[in-house]
Order: sequence, then structure tokens, then C-alpha cells
Amino acid sequence: MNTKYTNWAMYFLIAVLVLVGCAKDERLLFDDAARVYFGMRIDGPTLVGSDSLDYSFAFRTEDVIRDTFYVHCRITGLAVDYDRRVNIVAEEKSDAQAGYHYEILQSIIPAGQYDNSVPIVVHRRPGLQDSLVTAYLRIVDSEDLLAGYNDIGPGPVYRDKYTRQQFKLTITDRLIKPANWDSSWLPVFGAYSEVKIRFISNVANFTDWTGVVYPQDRNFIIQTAYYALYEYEQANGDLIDENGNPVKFY
Amino acid sequence: MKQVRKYMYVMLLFIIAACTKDSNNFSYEEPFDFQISDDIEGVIQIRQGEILSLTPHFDDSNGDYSYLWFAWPNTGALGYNNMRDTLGTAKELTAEIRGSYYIVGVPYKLTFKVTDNRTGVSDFYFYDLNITNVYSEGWMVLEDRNGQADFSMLLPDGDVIRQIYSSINPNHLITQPLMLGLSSGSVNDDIDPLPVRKFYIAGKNDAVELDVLTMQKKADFDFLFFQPPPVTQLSFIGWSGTSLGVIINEKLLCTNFVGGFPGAKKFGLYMQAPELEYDYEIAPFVANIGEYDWRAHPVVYQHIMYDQKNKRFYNVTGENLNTFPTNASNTSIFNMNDVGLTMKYMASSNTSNAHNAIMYEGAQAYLLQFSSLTTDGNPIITQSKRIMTAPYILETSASSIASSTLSGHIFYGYENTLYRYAINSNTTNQVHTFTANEEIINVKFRMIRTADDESGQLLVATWDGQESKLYDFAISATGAIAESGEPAKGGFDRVVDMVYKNVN
Repeated sequence: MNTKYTNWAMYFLIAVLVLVGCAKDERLLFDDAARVYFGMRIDGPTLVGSDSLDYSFAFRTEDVIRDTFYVHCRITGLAVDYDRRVNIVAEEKSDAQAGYHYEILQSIIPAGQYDNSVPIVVHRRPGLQDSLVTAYLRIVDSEDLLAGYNDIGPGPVYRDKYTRQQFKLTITDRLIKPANWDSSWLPVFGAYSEVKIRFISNVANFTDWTGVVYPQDRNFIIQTAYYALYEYEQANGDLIDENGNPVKFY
Repeated sequence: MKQVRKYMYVMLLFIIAACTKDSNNFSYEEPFDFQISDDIEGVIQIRQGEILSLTPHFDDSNGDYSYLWFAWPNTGALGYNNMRDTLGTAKELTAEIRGSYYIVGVPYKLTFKVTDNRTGVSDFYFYDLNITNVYSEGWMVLEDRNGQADFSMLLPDGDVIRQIYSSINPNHLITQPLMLGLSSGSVNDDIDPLPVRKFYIAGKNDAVELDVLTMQKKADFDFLFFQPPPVTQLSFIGWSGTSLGVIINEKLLCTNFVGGFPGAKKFGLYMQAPELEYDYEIAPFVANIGEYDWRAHPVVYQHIMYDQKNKRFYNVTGENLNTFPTNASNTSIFNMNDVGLTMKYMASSNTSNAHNAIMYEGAQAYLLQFSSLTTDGNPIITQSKRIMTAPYILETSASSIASSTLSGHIFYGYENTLYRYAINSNTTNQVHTFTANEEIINVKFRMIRTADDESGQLLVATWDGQESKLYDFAISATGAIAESGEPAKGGFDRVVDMVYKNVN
């Protein structure tokens, strides 16, 4: 008796499954509110993006009084047929003044697009020669776009300190010792000084001290700086740094 | 139990059914082995416009086959999505290498495709093509034509093509001819789209890089540098192997270090000598390491150069002029870091990775020999130092001295006499005398290696006040010299330098 009921139950279950399997699915569409976050930009085979920028005017010639860089904003959700405003504000702990030290221009996601590089202009102000100011920027809700991911993590997030709602900007006109000087440049240029690094940057036209430097470029920088200092010394005697010491590379 | 048996019957039915051959068109016969081959080995060198004939070995007696010959540029630098060129559909190929498709200097892969018409199965046999031109092989002879640099080529068949530089590059004259610089192999500097041999024609105050096949100017002297030197006073331009470009300007060393790292490579500014800054004078010779087994030689010196002012050798790397470690020298022979002599000439010897350096102090000539290699337990690279019994060798110019890489000899010319210095016996013989009015002004040796034997060629340039002539001598493996039988080639302006260009 039990076997009979069991068999009928099994036949019924199979029939139900077969009928359900033939039903048409509903299409799954993203219907959450659109959000925006600081994302990565695809540049050829690589992803480009950062959670911060340390901008220094120190290596720039005196005629450079402003510069523009871009932060990449990306949305979740679908593109729409009108421009949408990205609301980027400075947190209270910031000491960089919006409109004076920096300006955020055109912070929108244009119609029909899923991302945009928002231009930020940094200004070279007199006070920056002996100070460094910081803007802790954050995306907050706007009437068009809510603030997006507020997370930290490895790829695809690519954030280890500031979330994808945050961007830290420092601006200065003061030379700062590159973080990798002692590990990378000390063996070939000796102890750091502001006069020394300014001299090398000028003669070799090189400022990206913390970036990746290929061997041929490193050789060029070293050889050019060595010869320039030699010629300077032949013509003028020792080059004296800010501490009163002669600039020597070894 | 009955139920279980029923299930077992059903399972048995499935197992039996699985063994039944299904209806398909598969064949369980052994696949046909096409066995295609050809006697041709290595890269086929062929010029634009020439007819390429190939007869691959393939037994077609037992089947029905179709054939297809096609080629395409075989380099990632040009991409792999180029149109291919179909050369033929017969078993044997006879086709023109059309200039409209095949580019000089570009490698091509030629494919011979055989298809079995019954099964549709194909097999492929590949050839490598290198498209050459008339300038691909021969002696390049730099001449001083009324103070202007020009060069001719003496081709393997004995033909001479004259005034090549001035006819192709009439708008860039180079005065005070100095030398031709040709790299031994292709250099990958990420400036040229393909790795290519580097070729320079240099005067004392200017040089240009030429395309090694078309001879057209590729780059001015300043373009060779990230930042050109303020003054151009050249004494050498060329490559040490294919990894280090060498320019000696104002007697100071500039290098171009290339390798497997990305980014454009160019020459940097002057290198400093250890503890001397720029108080040195580099002699215009490089002792370059050749092929070696890196497992047997833990420490090697890739590029060795000599400082005439401080009378010492340097171990040159891409970054620095370096002092040799103290254990590299057996000071009872000589000290690499303190030789104390002036260099006359330096070149490779007949021993692998060993070098001959002719030095002098006053009127006394010395031959110093050293190696580029160390071995486990033996870091010493200094090999020998001897007083040379070689009359007039210090009176002649370095361009008239040629170290043999075939036997233990050094050939040199003085006035109208050609000499052969034997290293082991420290003796010198006169091996040829030209007419009294012909002065030997240039001597170059090249090794000829075939599958069967090794021999040498000695090219001697003379000057009689009106013209230079080239004389071709055959050198045996023992260093014996014989006139090749080729008549002297005349009509050259005063010869300054000679370089043999191989096809590679």
C-alpha cells in the first residue's frame, strides 16, 4: 500500500517538475537606484585609478600656476538620456580650501554614459611653499545619483585605505623626500637634500621619483645628473644645499 | 529480490547497448602520416624579384592530394592579421618574390600545405624566408672622397657597388671619415619596430644611423641620445655584441644598454670612471664576450674597455665603468686595474672569449692576452704578457692590424709589406710584398665557417697616392696565406675602414 502511494507521489512530482520547467522566465533587470563611485578606468590592457593623489608643484617651473588632473567616476545601473550630477564634497577634516586650493569642474555623468573623468584643478598658492594641504573628498547623494560602494578590498575594488566613495588629495609646493629615496636612489645619489633633488630633476627633466623607472631611463638620469654636477662644479665650485653642505652623489 | 533482479536486467541492457557501434562517419584506421621533408636547412635568403624554387619530399604515389603554398610576415611587430600571399597550388614551387608584397628585412613564414582529398586531412611544412637585397652581404668599404665619407660594397661575386652612401643620402654629407659601425646581430631597442642590426657611418664630428639593408639614413647623431653631448668628437661608434651600444665621444664613454625590459632605449651621457669622474680616455676598442655556457662560468665580463690615460682596463656594464675585482688579475702577469701601458690595438683572438691587446711603452711592444670568462675556482682572467718580436707594428696604424680568430696569428701591414706575427713562437714573417708605391693602409680578417671546415679571408687595402686597391687573401686553418686568385679591385678612394656584412 505504502509503495503504491510512494510511486504515485513520485510520478506526480516528476510531472510537476516537467511542467514548471517549460514555464517562461521573467527577465531579470537591475532596478536599484543609480549610484556613483570612484572607479577604475580602462587604459589599453590596464586598469588605471587610485584612491589618492599627492600633487607637488615643487618640480614645476615658476610659470606653472595651476594644473588639472582627473578622477574617474563610474555608475551602477543604466545610462540615462540626461546629464546627472555627481556630488563631491570635502569632509570637515580637510584643510585645503575648495575654490582656492582646488576646484572640481564638470562633476557629471553625461547623458548616455556609464562613467566620466571629472577634472579637478589645483592652484599654486604662495602658502604652499612651506605647507601641505589636504582635501578628503567624498561622494555623497545628489538628486541624480546616490553615493556608491563604500568598501575597501583587493581587485575588483582596488582600494586599501580609502573607500570607493573617498578620494584624498594633497597639494604642496614644498619638496617632499620621495618615500623610495633611501631604497632606490640613495646608492647612486647619496643623502637626500632639497637642492640635490631639484638639481637632478631640472637637468634630467625627471620628476616621477616614486614611479617605475626602467633601467635605460635610470641610467640616463644618473649619467646626466653626474655630468651636469661635474660641469657645474667646474664652472662654479661646489653646489651647496639647504643645510650648507656641498651636493655630492657619493 | 525480484525487484533487484529486474533492475539488474535493465542495467545489463544498457551495458550491452553501449557496445553497439553507432551510426557515424568516424574511421578507426591509423591516421595517415604525411612525411613531408626538405633538404633545405635554416632560413632561405632571397631577394625581391627572384624566383623561389622549392621541391619538398613527399610521396604522393598512393593517394589523391592537393597542395597550397602561402606566406605571411612572421613578426609580432607587424601583427599577425596581415593578408597572406598565395604562391602556388602545385607540389613543387616556382614563384616570384614580388616586391609589392615582400618587404626587405622582414621575416616571412612560408607554408606548404598538403591535403588528402579523400579525407580532407591536411598537413603543413614550414620554411622561413628572409627578404634581402643587393646590400645584404659583402665587404663594406669606407672611403675618404675628397674629405667626405662614402662607402662602396665588394660583393661576394666580386662585383663592386660604389658611392652607396652619397647616392642614397645626398643631403647629409659627413666629413673627416672615421669608421663604419655594424652590430654583430639584431638589436631590440624598442625604437625600430623590429629588432635590426645597427649600422652607422661616422666622421670625426658627425655620424648617422643607416638602415642596414636599404642604406637610407634612419637617424641623425643627436637622435641616438636621450640628450646629446654638447660636443661631437667621435673616436668610436658601434655595438659590443647586441646588448651594449658604445659611443666614444671626447674620449669619454656613452652606452646604450638594451635588454628584455620595456621602453625606448637610447644612448645616455658620459659614464664616470670610478674615483676619476671624467678624467679618463677610452681607447676605441671593445673586448666583447661571445657565446659561452653560463653554467660553467659563474662570473663573466661582458664588455671590457681600456683607459689610455690611466692605463687600465674597465669592466663595462650598462650602468658603470667598474674596477675589476682584485682576484681577476694574476699580478705576476699583469693587473687589469693597473696595466701601465698604452693600447695600440685590441681584438678577439682565436681562442673562444679570449682577446689580444697590443700595448706599448716607448718603442717596446707587448702582447697581453686575457679572457672574458672565469670558471669555478679560478677567477683569474689575465692570461699572458710577452714582449712582441714584431717589427714596425708600432709604426703602422691600428687599422692595418688584424687579429686572426682562426689561428694564433696577428696580420699587419707596414709600407708595402704584409706581416704575420705568430703568437706562440713570438716570431714574425713577411708574407706578401706589394709594389713599392703601394702602401698598406687597412687590413681586416674574417673567419669563414662552413659545415665542413674553417678558413679565413684577409682583405688588404693599399694606397698609391691615386687610388686604393683591395687584395683578397685566403687564410688556412694553420694561418698559411695564399692569394685567392681574385684580381685586385681598384678604383677606390683612400680606404678608411672595412667591415664584412653577413646575411643574418
